[in-house]
Amino acid sequence: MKFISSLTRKAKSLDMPAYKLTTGDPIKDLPLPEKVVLPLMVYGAEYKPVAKKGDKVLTGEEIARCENPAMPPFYATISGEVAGFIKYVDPIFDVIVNSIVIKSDGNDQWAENIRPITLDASVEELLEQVRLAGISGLGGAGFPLYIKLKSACGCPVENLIINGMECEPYVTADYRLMLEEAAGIMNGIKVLQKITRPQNTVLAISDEYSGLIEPLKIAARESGIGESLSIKALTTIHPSGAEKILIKTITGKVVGPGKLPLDVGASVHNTGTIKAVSDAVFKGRSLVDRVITVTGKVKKRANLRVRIGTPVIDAIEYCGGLDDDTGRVVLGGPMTGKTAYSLDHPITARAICLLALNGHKRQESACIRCGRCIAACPVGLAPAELFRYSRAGKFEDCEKENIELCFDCGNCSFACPSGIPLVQYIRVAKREIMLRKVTA
Amino acid sequence: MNSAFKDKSRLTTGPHLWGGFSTNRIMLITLATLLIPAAGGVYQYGEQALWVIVVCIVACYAADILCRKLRGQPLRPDMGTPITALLLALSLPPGLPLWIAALGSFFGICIVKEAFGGLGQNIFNPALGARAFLLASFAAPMTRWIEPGGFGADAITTASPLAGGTAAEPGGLELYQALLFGDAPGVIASGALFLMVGGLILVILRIVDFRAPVAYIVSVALIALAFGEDPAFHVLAGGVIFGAFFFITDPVTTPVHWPGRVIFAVGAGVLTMLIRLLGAAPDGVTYAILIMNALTPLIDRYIKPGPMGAKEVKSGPA
Repeated sequence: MKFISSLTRKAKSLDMPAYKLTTGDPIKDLPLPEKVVLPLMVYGAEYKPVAKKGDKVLTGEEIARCENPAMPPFYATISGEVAGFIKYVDPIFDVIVNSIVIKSDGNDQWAENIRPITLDASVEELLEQVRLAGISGLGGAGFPLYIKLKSACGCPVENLIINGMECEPYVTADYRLMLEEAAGIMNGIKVLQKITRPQNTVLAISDEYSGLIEPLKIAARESGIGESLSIKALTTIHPSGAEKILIKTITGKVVGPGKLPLDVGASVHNTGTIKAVSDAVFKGRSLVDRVITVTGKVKKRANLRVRIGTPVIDAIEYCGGLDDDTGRVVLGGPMTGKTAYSLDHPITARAICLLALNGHKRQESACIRCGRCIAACPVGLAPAELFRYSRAGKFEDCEKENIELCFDCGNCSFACPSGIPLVQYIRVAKREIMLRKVTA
Repeated sequence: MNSAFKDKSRLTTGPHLWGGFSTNRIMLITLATLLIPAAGGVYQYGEQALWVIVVCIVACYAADILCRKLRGQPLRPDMGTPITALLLALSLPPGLPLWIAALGSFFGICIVKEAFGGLGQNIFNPALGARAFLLASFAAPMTRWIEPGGFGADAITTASPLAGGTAAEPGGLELYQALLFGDAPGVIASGALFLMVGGLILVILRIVDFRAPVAYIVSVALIALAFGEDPAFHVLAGGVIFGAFFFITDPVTTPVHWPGRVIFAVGAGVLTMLIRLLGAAPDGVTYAILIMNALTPLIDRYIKPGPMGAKEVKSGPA
């Protein structure tokens, strides 16, 4: 019977095990690292260092600046001495980034450059506080929060959506955060409500996290948000927590390609970001750490609060090291993360997870047109068709088939029984199309 | 530890997980379900059926290896070959001269499948293509049916139920029973019940999309009703159930989008009944599905659901 049930389970169009192995592990603070490596780039914008080699810096002290004044300030995440600069290949933007290395002095002395304020402050003051705290989105994309909120100020926001879906397998950082820091999250929601003045506020969580509903409701009642916040447990099929998919699920509105959530009156924020807002406003604390899940083939899986820029190896050694058959370590979730080419990689603000996996290759065989990729695609594309065009170099045909709607969730490659790297081929086509547009 | 990791680490791009429901596994399950009607056929027709099945399997493998040699491809066999062999064998009459079965196998694998590019590239279902070839080339032996009699029985030639060759009264319970258990003269897989059990397993395990077989069976039944014929007889007799679960659901030769698959199934249903009721041949399942196979690229081209947000792209300013 068990065999049959496992067969039926696996035969679904997209059956992705949740692998949430660390829901029971409380968030622990990773001891201060000996050094941090901070790539001088936020959401593709380069920063020029203002600290020089040998300078003493404090935690939360500005060490680099961007030409764009709307970009968040760039802070040291530990106190110590600037040890120098190294090159780091950013796995997402695929560029070499100048990075600053800070050796810790072990004291973690904080610069006192921002002060706590209260909700009585004006919207402008709250926004400035968010900018000063150097917050960028912690859900994986890393968009600067100040810019997002500033543009939301000018538009009517119908739905403020707090994204606690955490639809990637393995990752439990947001779950633990919502469980342990519910009050902080509610305070953060209050700040965002004041800034964006939404008609509705929705906290969306995965239906796998139904145990969170009660504690969150209690926290909402105690914080006085009460009725203005609705908590929704939504069915989780990856990528149900992706911004555009979540907006569609909650509001029924479609955010077209090249459009922003604000165009349909929605503003979506990750729960970790909300907690950072709360810390910034009420505690005067700038963003220097984040919560990640360390899971997979490590000896002791854990949810860790780490300083941004901590080398991967520190977190892994704290978790007892890697299993012998580890073949790769993924920075980020298993579906959209990137593999580290060295364990000296820094943990950036975008990394939601550190996942050690085996190095198995999958067998690739011919496409049998089974249609599983189509069933798995959240936006209803035909990945197999795009793959064929991409492989043949027919990028115009890819454009005709709406390739720009693809947002790299990876479901097609996951579902393909022939093990064809579909999303990878689609990425090649998207990049080629983009390059041709740039050079045209 | 860091350097040791570096030595054996692999760089991969996401997704780093794989569902693991492999093509081989899909084909293995399909093959296993085909064994049910095969067992039913052997039970009904004894060694006559068994020999046809064995010859088809051996001949299909031989043809596959020959083609791979000729095309300079690795000889690694894929599970598509035994599936084609079983599908072809089960749709042949028991007692068929074995060299004809072998010839059909070679035609199916070499011409219908490999000549078009092999697994995943063939336009027509290899087994059905081979059957059509045999029907056209060897009309007499291909329509020479024998009475089911189990092992060691003498082959008594008779006519198929669709051609009126049954003692049971039309519409009677006895006839349905005979059709369900394959107790009426027909191809090896003529027991509709065995085919339905196999098909249901495929549907439950979501190997196949249930919409296509349902659409096919319903359209056959509705047209039978419209022409004043017995719908249950038309569904159970001939290859309708076989076609519904094992040929119309062949992913390679049918449309990829589900609305296209339903259109394919309805089209096949209409053609099956038109051939049965108005054409000269007693059964039309083979030709109906083959004709729809040919239309598959056309259906795929025009029937695709619009992706989410596509309307916004087209209507918005470029």
